[in-house]
Amino acid sequence: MMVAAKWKKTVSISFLSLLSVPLLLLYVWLLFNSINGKPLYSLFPDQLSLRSWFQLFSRLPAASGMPESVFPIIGNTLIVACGVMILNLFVCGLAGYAISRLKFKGKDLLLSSLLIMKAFPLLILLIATYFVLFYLRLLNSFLSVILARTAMELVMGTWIIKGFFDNIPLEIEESAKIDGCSLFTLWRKIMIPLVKPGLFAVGIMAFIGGWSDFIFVYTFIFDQSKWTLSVFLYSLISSQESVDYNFLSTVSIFYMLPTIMMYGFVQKGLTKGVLGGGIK
Amino acid sequence: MKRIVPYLFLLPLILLILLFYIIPVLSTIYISVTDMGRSLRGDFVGLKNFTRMFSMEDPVMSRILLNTLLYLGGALVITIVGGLLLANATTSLGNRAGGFFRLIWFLPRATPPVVWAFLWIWAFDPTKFGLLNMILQHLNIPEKSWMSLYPMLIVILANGVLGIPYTMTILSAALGNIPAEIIEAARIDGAKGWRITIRIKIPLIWWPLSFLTIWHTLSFLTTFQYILMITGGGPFYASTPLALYTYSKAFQNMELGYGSALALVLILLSMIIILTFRKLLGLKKEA
Repeated sequence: MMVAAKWKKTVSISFLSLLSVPLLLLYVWLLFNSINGKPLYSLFPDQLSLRSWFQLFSRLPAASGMPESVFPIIGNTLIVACGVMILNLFVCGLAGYAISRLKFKGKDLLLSSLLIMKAFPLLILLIATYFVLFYLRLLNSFLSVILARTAMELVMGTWIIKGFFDNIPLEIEESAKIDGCSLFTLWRKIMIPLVKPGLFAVGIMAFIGGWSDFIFVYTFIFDQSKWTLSVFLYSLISSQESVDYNFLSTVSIFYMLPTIMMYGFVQKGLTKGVLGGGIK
Repeated sequence: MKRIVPYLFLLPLILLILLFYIIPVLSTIYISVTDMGRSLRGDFVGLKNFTRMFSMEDPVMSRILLNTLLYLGGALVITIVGGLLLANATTSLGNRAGGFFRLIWFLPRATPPVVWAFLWIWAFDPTKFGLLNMILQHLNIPEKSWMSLYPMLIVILANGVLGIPYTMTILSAALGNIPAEIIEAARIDGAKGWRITIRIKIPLIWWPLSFLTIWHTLSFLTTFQYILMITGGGPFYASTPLALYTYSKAFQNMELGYGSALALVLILLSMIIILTFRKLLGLKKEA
């Protein structure tokens, strides 16, 4: 029996390794290339160098039509990511509370539309969204990306925050109401602090969404001065001139570090939210 | 006053839903019956865009539909089977070793789309510095330009693998919820490992498994950004499914009218899937 169990474990581990090694190789290859002086032609670095990391933070490698410094690009990416985070928290914090606690006409309609929107893929509406943003004169502005991305994140966010409000005992509100608190003061001073963990998870998810957005920035933004890291990296990849693989790897690693770290933070909460919302 | 307060709380949400869901759906319908182009102004052309879709006026359409089916089927198989295999193996290993592999397979989800696309572009790069060509050259196999040889396969792989983390997470949780006694009883009755998986575990996780299949069908049907970045849909539409075709008609050829007609087909397809499987997708009212 013991031997059989050990044997089974060995089979499982070798099977998992077989599946995982290629995936891991993709990432290791990227990491090793970012700290090598020339493109790797073996699986291990043969000329350790931080050349491309210095390039990233000083003067970017000269190429026609490319920006000179990475800092404005990082700044733009932060504007979009923080914008999505703040707007999303504002929208979801207000709506989650109303849906959880307040009575109003049309609640059923709102709930069923939110449920359908949860499964509805927003990207099919890209053409029409472009058209709407054109008429609002918002094309080529950060606001266009922030609004569109928030619209994408808010369904899940509202749902998660509503769940957090549902778990707060009613008595807390009752006593505050007796003290003569207005509804907005009650929401801001008492309720919001009680759902901080939910806001934290939703905020980080929204930040990651804004930080890693590609298609909205690529479609709605025309000026190079408003590029974010995603479009910058994509332009480097698709540029016709010879590509500096080491530098591309460095940009990629730098760009994905924050998302990997933040995902690690909220992984548990996310899994719970997804499971709780998806299947019962 | 009291009656409008709830709507004040909901105002930002409702505004965004109007701007990015309701008005765009209506606009798509409107634009799809016009010949709108770059100027964003168009004249009414009736159902011309739709007849063009299903006639010889669009000679690549049959190709596109075939691609859509291939891509959908291929990516689904990779996502579901891959996720199931990983979930099964990691749960049987226990928390420490299983958790380690699950951590590795979490990476794709945390990777920004452009970086994910880049990983695949570079793995199949036609020069000797591409990961696959580099490995093959050390084995004395000459380099190949994979992207133009097998564009569809690469696109299916990149999208399918990206779905695995989500599938794996949900199926791991579902497998973890199966009472140990059931598996034990089967084992005492003499059932062997893989038979337990097929005959006992899979029927027990049938619900999440079908949920994931429908969920990913919707997602693969409508996402195109990875294909756009990896192959650009080429060479000559070889790896273009319907969603990417919609995008490239609208934003590369600037045929917004025709693009919207194609988008409307996708919207209708998605709505049919969502409404047919709304129970499975968990779209029942809970409040």
